[in-house]
Amino acid sequence: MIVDVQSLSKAYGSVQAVHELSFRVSPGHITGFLGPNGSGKSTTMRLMLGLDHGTGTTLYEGKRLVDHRPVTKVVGSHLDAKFFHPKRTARAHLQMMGSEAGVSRVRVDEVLELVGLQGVADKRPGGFSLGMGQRLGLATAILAEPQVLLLDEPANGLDPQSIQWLRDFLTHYAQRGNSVLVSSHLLSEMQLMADHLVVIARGRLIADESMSQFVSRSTKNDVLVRSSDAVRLAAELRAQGLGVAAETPEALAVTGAGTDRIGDIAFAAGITVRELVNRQASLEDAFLELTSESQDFAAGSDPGAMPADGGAR
Amino acid sequence: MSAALVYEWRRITSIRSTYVLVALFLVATGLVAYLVAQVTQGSFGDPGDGSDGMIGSGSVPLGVVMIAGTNFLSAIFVTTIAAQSFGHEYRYGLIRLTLSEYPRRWVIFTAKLIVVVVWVVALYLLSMVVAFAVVKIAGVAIDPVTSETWLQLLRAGLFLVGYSILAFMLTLITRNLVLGVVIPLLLGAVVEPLASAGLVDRLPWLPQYLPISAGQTFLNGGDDLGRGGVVFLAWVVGLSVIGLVQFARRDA
Ligand SMILES: Nc1ncnc2c1ncn2[C@@H]1O[C@H](COP(=O)(O)OP(=O)(O)OP(=O)(O)O)[C@@H](O)[C@H]1O
Ligand SMILES: [Mg+2]
Repeated sequence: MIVDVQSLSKAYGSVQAVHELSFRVSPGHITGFLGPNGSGKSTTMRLMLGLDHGTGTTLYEGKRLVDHRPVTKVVGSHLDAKFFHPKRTARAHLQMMGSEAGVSRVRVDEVLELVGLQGVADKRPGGFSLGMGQRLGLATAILAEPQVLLLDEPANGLDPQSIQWLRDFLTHYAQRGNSVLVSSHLLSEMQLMADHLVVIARGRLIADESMSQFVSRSTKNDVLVRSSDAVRLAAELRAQGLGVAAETPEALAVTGAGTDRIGDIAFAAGITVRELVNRQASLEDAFLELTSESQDFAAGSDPGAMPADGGAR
Repeated sequence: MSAALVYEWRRITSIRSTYVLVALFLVATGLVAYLVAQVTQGSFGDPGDGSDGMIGSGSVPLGVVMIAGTNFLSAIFVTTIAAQSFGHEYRYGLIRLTLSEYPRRWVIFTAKLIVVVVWVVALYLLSMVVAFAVVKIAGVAIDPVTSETWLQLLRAGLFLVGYSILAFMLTLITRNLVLGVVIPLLLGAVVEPLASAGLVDRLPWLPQYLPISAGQTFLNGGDDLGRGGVVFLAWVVGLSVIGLVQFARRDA
């Protein structure tokens, strides 16, 4: 099911949380939803679900959510790991949440087992850990087997095994023709999981493209060249208009050309090349570069610095 | 709508506090019924049946005892059940899950209201059984039931339903369970009596238009019964409209 987000805007008082945001979530793959803290990801998801009132529309296969029935077979959402009554057992919670789609008891058991909560199905979730809360939230989202999943930081608080499980689960879920939009600050995880990215900052769209396109925008996509005569090689490369930075006395980081051209330049100049490799930027590199100007809550740039008059009185 | 009713039914029946409140309600009602029977037995007969009543007649008017469920103590427990309807959902953020399932908000609003009214009516009927049993077990003689008794019981039931709806709406409007329970209670037990007494010279008509006072006028019967009922109903309907409009317009 295609989800069409059309110029969503939302202001809280003077804070413009989301501004004219449009993008599309397509079936068959996972769309990562990225943005710095306070950039409006959660607000966007609430707008998409009609929980918050803003302007703009979100169409699910051409129709608004309120015009679909059952709604829970269209979209399942998981916005917070704490959205349950602490005294209502996990099983009763799911049975209640399954009412709209008429979910059977068998399905409730199935989902509990799927997320690994079968052992605590009849326990009160008030005592659940953050990870268990995430599992219950995820179970709620997938209960009615919706065609669209909206997940807000579902990996937050999960242990490495669970994160891997979540990645596999979502990959399979998307491969079955469903649409998945998932936000996360775990960029290495996102790089493994998502095929497409929607990146926002200060409520505005920064990128809506494939993972590879986004990552290729980073300046950290470069070529490492090691040579016995790095100084002369650097001069030759610069003369050809390439970007060159010395990493060690004999290693250069080169941008602006691929390994073939750099090899040719070195050969023509008669310089021995000992290593020549393409280096790919990580999603984190690309994300940090492209959002560096639009971070609302940047921490002090030197994490090692202490406040001048901190400490003893 | 039927799915929303199922949702709400599962919600109310799947937390223990509902049953604890039911038990407390019935215990409080039994206690009050017993006390009322003891006091009534030794003092007066039923003025509602048209007779003057006989002091120390040794029997009690059934209607007076059986409306024990509408005393403020018992009502706290019923209104808490009503207030939890939205109160729990706002307290635990569950409202966002609920509204993603039922994006047409009036649907879940109506379902919750219906389920609450059904529970309050059922609890009121149960409280009458308890009150009757307590009086019987205590061996107190009961006056014959008249048509006025039935009307009195009906009015008391309507009062309890209206009072619960007030708590339900105040919880929705304030998004705070405690306020939803405490505001009607304070109004009825403290604010309205004080305001009425304090302003008796300047605003002698005031009590007629205060919500709980008007409800009690309706409950007690007498000449002002009709006006009390209308004023009470106006408050209930007015707050319901405000509650629904706000609920539909505000962010979840
Ligand atoms: N209910 C609200 N009332 C007032 N302001 C809000 C509300 N919800 C969000 N905001 C503001 O809107 C902006 C976007 O917040 P939002 O929670 O959507 O960001 P986010 O991208 O999810 O951030 P994070 O990565 O920290 O979860 C922030 O400036 C936030 O302060
Ligand atoms: Mg967020």
